Amino acid sequence: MENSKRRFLKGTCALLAGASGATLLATVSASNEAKADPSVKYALIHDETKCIGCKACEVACRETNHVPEGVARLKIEQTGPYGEYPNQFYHFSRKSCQHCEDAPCVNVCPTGAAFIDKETGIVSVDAWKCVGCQYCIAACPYKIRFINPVTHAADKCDFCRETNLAQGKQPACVAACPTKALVFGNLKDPTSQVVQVLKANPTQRAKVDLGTRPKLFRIVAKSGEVAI
Amino acid sequence: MSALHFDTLVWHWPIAIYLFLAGASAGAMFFAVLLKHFVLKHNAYQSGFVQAACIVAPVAVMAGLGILVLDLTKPFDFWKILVFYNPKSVMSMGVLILLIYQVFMFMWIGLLFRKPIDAWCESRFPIVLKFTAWLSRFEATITGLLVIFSLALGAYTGFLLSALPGYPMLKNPVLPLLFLASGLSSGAASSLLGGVLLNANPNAKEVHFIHKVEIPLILVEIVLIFTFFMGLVLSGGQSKFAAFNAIGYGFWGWIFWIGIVGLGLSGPLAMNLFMTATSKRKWAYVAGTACLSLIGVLLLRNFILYTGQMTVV
Amino acid sequence: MSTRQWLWSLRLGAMALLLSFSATSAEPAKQINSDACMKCHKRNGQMLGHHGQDAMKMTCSSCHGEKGDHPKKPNDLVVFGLNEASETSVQLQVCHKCHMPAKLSSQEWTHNVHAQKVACAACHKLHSPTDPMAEITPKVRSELCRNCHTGQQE
Repeated sequence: MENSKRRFLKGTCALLAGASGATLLATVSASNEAKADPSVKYALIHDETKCIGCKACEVACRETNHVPEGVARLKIEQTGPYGEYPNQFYHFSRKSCQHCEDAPCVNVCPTGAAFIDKETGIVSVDAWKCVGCQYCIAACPYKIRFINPVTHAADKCDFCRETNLAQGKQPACVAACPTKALVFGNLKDPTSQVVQVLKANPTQRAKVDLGTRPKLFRIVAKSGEVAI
Repeated sequence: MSALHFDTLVWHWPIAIYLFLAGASAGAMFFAVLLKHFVLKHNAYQSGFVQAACIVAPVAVMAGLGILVLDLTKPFDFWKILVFYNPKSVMSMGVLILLIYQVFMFMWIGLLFRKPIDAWCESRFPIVLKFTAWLSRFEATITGLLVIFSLALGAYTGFLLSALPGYPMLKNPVLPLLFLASGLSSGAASSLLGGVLLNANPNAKEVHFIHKVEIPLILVEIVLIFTFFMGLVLSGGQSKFAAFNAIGYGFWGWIFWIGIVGLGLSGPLAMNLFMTATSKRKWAYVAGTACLSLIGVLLLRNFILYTGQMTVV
Repeated sequence: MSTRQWLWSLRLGAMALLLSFSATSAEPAKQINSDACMKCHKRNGQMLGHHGQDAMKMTCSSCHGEKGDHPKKPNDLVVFGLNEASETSVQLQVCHKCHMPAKLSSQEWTHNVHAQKVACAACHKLHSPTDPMAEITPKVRSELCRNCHTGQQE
């Protein structure tokens, strides 16, 4: 009996040592990854003062990325009307992936199908690796993920990483916007338009208190409703 | 907003069933180990309740995994979960725990039934005897690790939901403990129910032992549920809203107060208290309390899953 | 006028022409198209749209106003459209006789923001058999917005 107890203790200790060793290794390798600083980190600004709600971005996104009907990578959400006739106005806000630096979807994905592209900081999906557990959809605080009815994999905005961006073009929504309300660019490049606009305007990001560090910025329209 | 269909609902009832089955399996194994070591010692395999636990645990965990796989949008790609791991993902680590748990579960069950297995294999497959003899050298380690992994599996069912930052009610540190406690009690209940269904004596010492553990367990569950909702209310904002939205009114309010607090917790607790630990147990009494406990736990899983997804940050 | 706009009106015109052929061959001629105005405006005055149906008992002057000095200029006729048209407020007055702003806003939010700034005829065409705004696709719709919202103004 005494012997078996000792053996049990030994086994447990070995397990705990192994587990802590593994986590240690993981953290060490993670901190090494963080040191390799990429020179590109893409971000997007939606200037709500310029947005007219034409939804050309939605249409362009659907066409460029072959998003099936019934689901969308990008939606313009509209509130209003505010004010009195004939001077009424609306507010438009963009609902799409925020490309979080600390992305909950990437953290919960069991297979690593949801990942952050190290070269560009874009949160992306490997449709082949995705098994469709929908954990990422539940985890996303911005509720922008969906199951693509064609591929049966999780899908979302990837800044046209595989389409326009790969061809050296701006993301489809940015190129389509008639009022130039969308500004896309590299946060690491101080001369980029996105950095210039961020420096010159007060911007907001959604749900920052969750610690997700999103990279979709919004320039909020000046007037609006009072909500308590 | 309807109680069972709403925009922010991502995970439906199959996930609740999966969480229930995984918890019940872990609980059944946990109690089987307890029964063997504290009550029955060497001839544990002859007890109907231990036998029931040894049937419930593998069946429940396999059925749970089956439901989980069928609930994927790509069920035939489930093997990718077993091949690709993400150390940051609770689900990935949970699958790992689930696999290791099953290995130790089968080894422990094999050792538990070593006598009949050895007797049956002696003339047919003598090689098996060598294997069981080799395995029995590690019996203490296997038992210890099985207990650790069954507790880990029970807690994992809660961590799976508490890792969702978008839902203030689920992102709650008490949830894994609550699910662990209710998982253990569902394991105890399923062993009792299975035992009496296998014609075991409803007044056996195993029943007395389990009921003796069950009262504190139910009290702990009540405290955890109270802490869970108090924590939400005191956090304010959306957490407070989520708490009142869940238990305040409507379909899920009824499920919570009548189904979980009433039937699932107060019912077995009251029956346990009225029937003191020493008095004689009847078949209907044991089966009845076990059924109430199981219904309560199943409702709790569904209640937390659905109401948790109703409120978004 | 931009090329895109020009192409768009060409496309519309072609569609209207095609549809008008089929409409005239299939349906009996509408009462409004035997109006006295049609003596001169046979080509550019054909009324094939919803507003021309007999049951509405409308004439050309219901919308365009009384003939007055026409064809001499200046005259009081209302001309609908964006370019070489009557004042926006004058055009709006005509449409508002029947179409209440409140009801329009419940149909389509863009009515609210353009309220008195843009004439109805900037988007709607009444003479063609079908109004291009009826069952407009999201793509065509966003292109229509682009015709005016070019990013020059706030």
